[in-house]
Amino acid sequence: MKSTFVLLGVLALILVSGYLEGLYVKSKFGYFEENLAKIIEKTDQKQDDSENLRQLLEWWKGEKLIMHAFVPHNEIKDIDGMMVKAGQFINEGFFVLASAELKKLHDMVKALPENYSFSFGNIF
Amino acid sequence: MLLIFIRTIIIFAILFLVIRLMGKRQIGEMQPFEFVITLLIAELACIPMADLSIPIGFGIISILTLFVMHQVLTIGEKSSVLIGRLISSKPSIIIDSNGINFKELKRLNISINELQENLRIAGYSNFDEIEYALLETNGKFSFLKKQPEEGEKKPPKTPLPVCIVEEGKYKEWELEKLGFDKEFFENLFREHGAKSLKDIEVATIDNNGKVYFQKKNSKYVVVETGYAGRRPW
Repeated sequence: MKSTFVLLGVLALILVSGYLEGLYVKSKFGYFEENLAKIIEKTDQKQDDSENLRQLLEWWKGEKLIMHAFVPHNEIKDIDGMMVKAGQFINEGFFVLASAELKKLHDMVKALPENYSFSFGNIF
Repeated sequence: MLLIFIRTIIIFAILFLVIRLMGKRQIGEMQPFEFVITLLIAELACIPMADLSIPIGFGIISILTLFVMHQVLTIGEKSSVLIGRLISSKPSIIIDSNGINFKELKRLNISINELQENLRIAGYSNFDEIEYALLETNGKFSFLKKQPEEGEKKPPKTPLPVCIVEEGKYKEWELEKLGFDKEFFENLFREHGAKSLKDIEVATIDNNGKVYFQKKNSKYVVVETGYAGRRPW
């Protein structure tokens, strides 16, 4: 009886934490993607939005510490570098290069939660 | 996390099926599902420990999933005989009152030599000393000793049998080494209704000259011949 309770407890822990983890990763990357899209839009219009990009980078640095618990570290290690590079391009007026770098990052940020979401394709 | 959970269950189920198909002998002292868990758990613990790029949670979830699987199978095994048989199989009777069950032996991929070896490990020397032999679900052999009949003589010395015929063929090397004549055995088998050597599934002879043999689909026969060959051992 005791072991059945432990079993049900562990099973509930796995399922609930798995569900919450899915929601957490999706919401954080959703926020990231949304803000990145706004910066890309401005960059495409050759507007300097490096301040928002800097703020997004700061936000990401804080989130990354928690995200390491849910996503393999190699998958997210390049995000900071890409943001810094895009910021540098904006500061020097290379908006086309900055936009290309940000779009690459946008695709990556969009794909990451999908890669770890609970779906048939990901199971197999 | 849920992905790891499902993937671990799938890998566990496949490994479990393969181990069950491989038969009991691969298992050692464990039930099949315990063996599968032992195979998996070491790797699961090592990978996140050594690879810093993998979140430790991946290892923890996999290990907890194995714990869940273990508990589910243990409860299932206890809850019904049918489920218990599906999970852990059932003991196989290898020797019964008619002798060795060759169909079962073949199904389990066990040779006569292996059976003899386990018989010796268990402290017996001849097949006819055994009433029943079972291969338990954990891969271990159990031998149930035959009760001696009243007035039965004890053998003069500790019997040490050697296998001379297996699956209708002589073990030439044993015959040569101990100086046995094939003719002696052929006459003996013929006297007991064997048309040819192919009818004999197994035959052993010990150092007291006691011959144990079993024809296909027949009960075993034990004959005290006193035959010792040209090089008694």
